[in-house]
Amino acid sequence: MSGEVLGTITLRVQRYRPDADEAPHLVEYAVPWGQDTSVLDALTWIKDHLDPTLAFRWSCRMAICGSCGFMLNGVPRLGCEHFVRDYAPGPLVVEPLANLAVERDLVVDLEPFLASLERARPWLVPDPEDPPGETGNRQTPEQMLAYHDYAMCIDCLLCYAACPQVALAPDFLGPAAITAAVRYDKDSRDHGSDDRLPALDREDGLWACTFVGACSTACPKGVDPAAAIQQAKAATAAAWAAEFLLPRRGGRP
Amino acid sequence: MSARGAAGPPRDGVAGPPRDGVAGPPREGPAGVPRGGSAGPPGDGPPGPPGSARRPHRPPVRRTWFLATREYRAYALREASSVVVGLFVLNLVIGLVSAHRGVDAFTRWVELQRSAPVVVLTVVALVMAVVHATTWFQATPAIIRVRRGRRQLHRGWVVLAHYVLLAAFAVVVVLWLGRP
Repeated sequence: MSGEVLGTITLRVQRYRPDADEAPHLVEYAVPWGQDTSVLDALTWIKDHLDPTLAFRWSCRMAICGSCGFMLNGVPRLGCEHFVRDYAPGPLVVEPLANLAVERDLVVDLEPFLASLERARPWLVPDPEDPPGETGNRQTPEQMLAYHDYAMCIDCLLCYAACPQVALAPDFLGPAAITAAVRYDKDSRDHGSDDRLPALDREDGLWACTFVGACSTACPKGVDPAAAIQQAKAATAAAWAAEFLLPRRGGRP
Repeated sequence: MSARGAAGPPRDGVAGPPRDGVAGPPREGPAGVPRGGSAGPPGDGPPGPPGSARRPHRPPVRRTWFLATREYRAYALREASSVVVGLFVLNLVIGLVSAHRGVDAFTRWVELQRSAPVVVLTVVALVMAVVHATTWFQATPAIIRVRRGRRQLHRGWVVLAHYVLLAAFAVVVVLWLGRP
């Protein structure tokens, strides 16, 4: 504890050991807290002083890496940027991110998300007929603003934990993966929109989103995935209409 | 919180247990539940650390999930409002069919409109139409982004534009209905 201890809070932490537990259950821990104790600090204190078997992800402690997402009293948040003082006197219930399979304690399975992210093809595709060359890709500040906010995503998966469609439709591409695709679609240097369209324009792509909007509320970086998805729906519908009215020879590449 | 100085297991990445001292001895999972990972259950394959046995738990979705948060409830109300408006439109369609069938049928439909259930439906439909329209008007700035140079038009103008269009449309309809 780097500062004065202001009190003790009860943390109810979900534990699940696949080799020992039939199902997840809550375990209570009494944790001393000070003015600067984050929820992640509290979990680390439990691991150091009470139970070294507690499993959770973390890395940067400054809301950049996106590793320490948890459900705090049922709300998806980053453990490093929320303080225990705001939950005192407690109890504070800490659970793994909702809508995702739990591997152990507070650790969720990231593999389905990583597969979705790959399907979204979130990388720059240069113009094959006019590659950047020695001058590189030039972009005006206005062109950068078109995608800047969507580039702030840290893949923390709080939006997946907030989105009911992720739970109801497990094959749904999901808010962060779609936002990653939209981020590159809106980049003036990119020519990969047609490659991304097959993954987006599907029942389990854009169209599984029912615009609840909870993903944008949960996002710790102000990315607004709901806006990205709705804009992509409008753009995809316009592209469909254009294709219907003026079909390209040989169809979509 | 000065947890940094404390000796403990490695902590970057997945802070999983290096041993199973507190967790208790591993035991068999439920029958029929497959186990992945490198170790598997005891006695099944080569021995390994029990912590590496995988048995991901997927929590079930409650049937009442849409009541869980205020945001979900607002979404459910917005979606449910369209059902009520749909019933109101169905009533109007029945009225059109009645008019097509003749004076007697249409008179019976007009009489039906004075019954309590239809009056309640009409009032509720009016409320729900307002809910549906206003919630969608509030949502549209997420879709319609107007940028002028480096500045983005405030979302309030986009919402206001919808109300202005609605008012203009209403005036046109009222004038059309009131024409001689």
